Amino acid sequence: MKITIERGKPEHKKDVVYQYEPHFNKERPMALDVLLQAQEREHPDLAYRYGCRNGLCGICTVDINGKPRLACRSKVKSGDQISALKTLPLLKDLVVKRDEVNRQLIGRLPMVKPVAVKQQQDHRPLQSLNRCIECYACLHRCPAHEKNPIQGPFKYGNPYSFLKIQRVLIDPSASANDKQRAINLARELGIEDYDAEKVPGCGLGINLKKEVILPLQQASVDLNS
Amino acid sequence: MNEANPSRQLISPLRQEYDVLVIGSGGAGAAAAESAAAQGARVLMVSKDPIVCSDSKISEGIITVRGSGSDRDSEQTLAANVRIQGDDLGEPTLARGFAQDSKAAYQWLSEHGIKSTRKPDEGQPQAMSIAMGGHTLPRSVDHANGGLDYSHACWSAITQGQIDYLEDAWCLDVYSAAASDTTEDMAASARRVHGGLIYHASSGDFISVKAQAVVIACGGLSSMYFPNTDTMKGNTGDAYAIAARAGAQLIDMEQVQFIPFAVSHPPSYQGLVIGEPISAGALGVIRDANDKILKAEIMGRTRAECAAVIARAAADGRASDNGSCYLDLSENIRGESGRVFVELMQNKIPGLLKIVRAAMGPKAAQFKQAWQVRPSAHYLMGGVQASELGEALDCQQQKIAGLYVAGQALGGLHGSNRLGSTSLAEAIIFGRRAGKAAHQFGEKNKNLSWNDIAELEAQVLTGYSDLFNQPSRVSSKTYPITISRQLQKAAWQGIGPGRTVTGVAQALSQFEVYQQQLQDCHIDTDPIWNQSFMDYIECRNMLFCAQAVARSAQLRTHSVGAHVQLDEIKPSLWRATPGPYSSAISHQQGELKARKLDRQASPWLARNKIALQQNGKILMFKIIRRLPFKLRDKILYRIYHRALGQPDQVAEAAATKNTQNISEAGQ
Repeated sequence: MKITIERGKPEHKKDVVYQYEPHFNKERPMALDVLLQAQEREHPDLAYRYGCRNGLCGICTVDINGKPRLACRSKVKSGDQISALKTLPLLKDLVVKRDEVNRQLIGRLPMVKPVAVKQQQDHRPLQSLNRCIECYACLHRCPAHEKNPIQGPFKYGNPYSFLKIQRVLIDPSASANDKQRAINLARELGIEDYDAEKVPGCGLGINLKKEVILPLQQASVDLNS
Repeated sequence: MNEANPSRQLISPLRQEYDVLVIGSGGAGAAAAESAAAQGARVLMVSKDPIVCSDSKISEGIITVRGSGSDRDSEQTLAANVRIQGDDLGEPTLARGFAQDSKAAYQWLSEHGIKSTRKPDEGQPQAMSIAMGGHTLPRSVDHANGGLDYSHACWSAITQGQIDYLEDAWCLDVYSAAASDTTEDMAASARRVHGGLIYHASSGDFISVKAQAVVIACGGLSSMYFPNTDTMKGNTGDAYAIAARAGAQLIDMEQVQFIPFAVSHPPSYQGLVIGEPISAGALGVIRDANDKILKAEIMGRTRAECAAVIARAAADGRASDNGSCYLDLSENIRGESGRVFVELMQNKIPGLLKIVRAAMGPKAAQFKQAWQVRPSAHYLMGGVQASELGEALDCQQQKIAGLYVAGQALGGLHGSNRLGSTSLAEAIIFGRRAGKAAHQFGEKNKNLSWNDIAELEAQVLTGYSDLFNQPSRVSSKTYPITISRQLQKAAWQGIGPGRTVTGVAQALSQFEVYQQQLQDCHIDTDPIWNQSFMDYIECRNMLFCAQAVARSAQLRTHSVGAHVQLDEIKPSLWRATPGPYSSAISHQQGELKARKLDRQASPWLARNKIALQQNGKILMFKIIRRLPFKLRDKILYRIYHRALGQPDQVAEAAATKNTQNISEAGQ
């Protein structure tokens, strides 16, 4: 099984072809299995991120044939290409600089004070958003993130940062002031101009359009009226 | 960093000043950093992985909250439970601290956005109805998205908490020197820390941080057993190695928690946990490769007992080719109760069943086919010895001034057996304690200038600069990742779930070979994201810990803990069993020193009460298993149904009743 891995630094990238040796007959390896073996056998200084090997930590995201995928949970076949995410600045091989994404939210979200519960609250909408593992796949073809310079800082938001804001809005404990601050931040990150027809998909099954972008846009409109 | 140069070049770092330096960004790091910052400390958090991408995030998200399941759950009850189940190896003060702050820790999580099912009247989180592994009472609160709910809360604490943080930032060592000044706080301290050296991989900078206090919250060493682990790759024992090099004492390092039921094949899923004793149902059994039942009544047994039978079968050649046994849950799905059992499992452990389906196929996921399982490294119950405030102690039991530990890095809470769902609580409890204590210490000791620590800083910098000053390293064909892989194999063989005296000794001599190889392995000179340098750092720390685990293991010749001593000689009746003791490891003049540390035994009555309770549970399951099918089915139906709980429905029913009452009153 031959897999192409894009290696190198921003100024000098090159494709290497790695011949994967299956662990057993008819193995359909994950991209991460290929990277682990490539590092052990031919490319001992291969740079790539991974953590839990179980689709939970969200840090092994790479592009497979140009589309963002979790390396640990994406099967690959002969001829596939693994490369670094194109939506974030490349550091080396498959490693991109991730921290700029969170920078646009630091210290800017209201901290919602929990109110004493009188009766059972419905947390399902919030819990649905908490499925987010922060893999940053939703930066791919995001109409707002595309307007940012690749090296950052990122002026415009993305489904992930809007999701973090929407978490505040649907918190049953959020005060009117909390909500207003959240909406203002969403506006600063460009929610009003966000093309809702072009919201990227989410591999965890969160409907980013219906659960994040549209409600935020609606909240922004409601705030004006 | 400079290109390889035969003449000696010194790394020239950026210098930064803070009050508190926090290493690690999981639950413990988040709680420590937020708590210190909330009191006014200037805090820098460094994390080699992206923030919150830790074991906390990938956990099951179940948290111990005292009183959440029973009104009888006093602080004494919980503290005694923790100590006794850990065979009294644990430190009583830590168990008490855990019990004292358990509710407050959950409150802290609530303030940062965690949501749980609550008792409508009291606003208290509602525990699951079943007592988790080792608990005498139900007090474990679960969350819809497991660890993700927890980590979203930690994320808020870090990003909204007036904390500076750096990702891709590797703490190489903390600055530790003999304490020269004697303020009130330091009267009993021989050493003091002053910050540490960071490698910031994404910028290529070395950052020298001057800080009055350092909190080490980057615990875990399970990567030492890769791929037989379900934890994050970054668990390379950094916390223990850094703390020990700074003079701290490590305790109970041989107490690695192995979860009995993990995937052994295929490689993409190897090591991932697919069950706990509690999820085996009343009728689940462990079988060997010849279909013989090795253990039944699993639901009433500890993780350690189950891991031990599998390890023993593997050593005796009764396991499958890859050292696995079979977890057979098929008996559970018969009858009416079977339907509820399946629903219960799908409700409570959907993530684990997803792994079973992917790794072993749909029949296994429907419990019709037995699961091939073997133990997997999950948690280190030992760690850095510390006071109940997280102050690190040295081998004389003196505080190392300014050095704090929290979370998995902290040793001495769990002893030989960690109760289920305690780690996420422990992280917040001791994280908050350490953060506050670090801030208070920093307030009293601001008198430090760069000049005071220049010599210390230069010493540490020289050590790391030398790694880049050896031209032979650049041309070396031995890469640190290769050494790590060998080390991981040797650790699994020698100091894994099944151990023997000769096996441990063999592992130790192998570790010495790897130590030699590490002396002149390949290290690159490229400043940005220097993979081989980072691999070297991880390999070095893992090797340090492997040696500490092995040396500690040598202090025990009988089975205590989550592993099994395969060649143990059962103590004879007329020879008194030794009282409880911990193993202690310190790093002195470049060598590891191991010794025993006596522990206080819990009262005989309390110990036997818990033992009786446990045996009673096993007896109950034994009886249930032998009952006529119809009766058995009826009883199990009720047990599973209660476990299913569905608190939402209960609460909804209560809410409806309330509205009814109101409307009735209106009429």
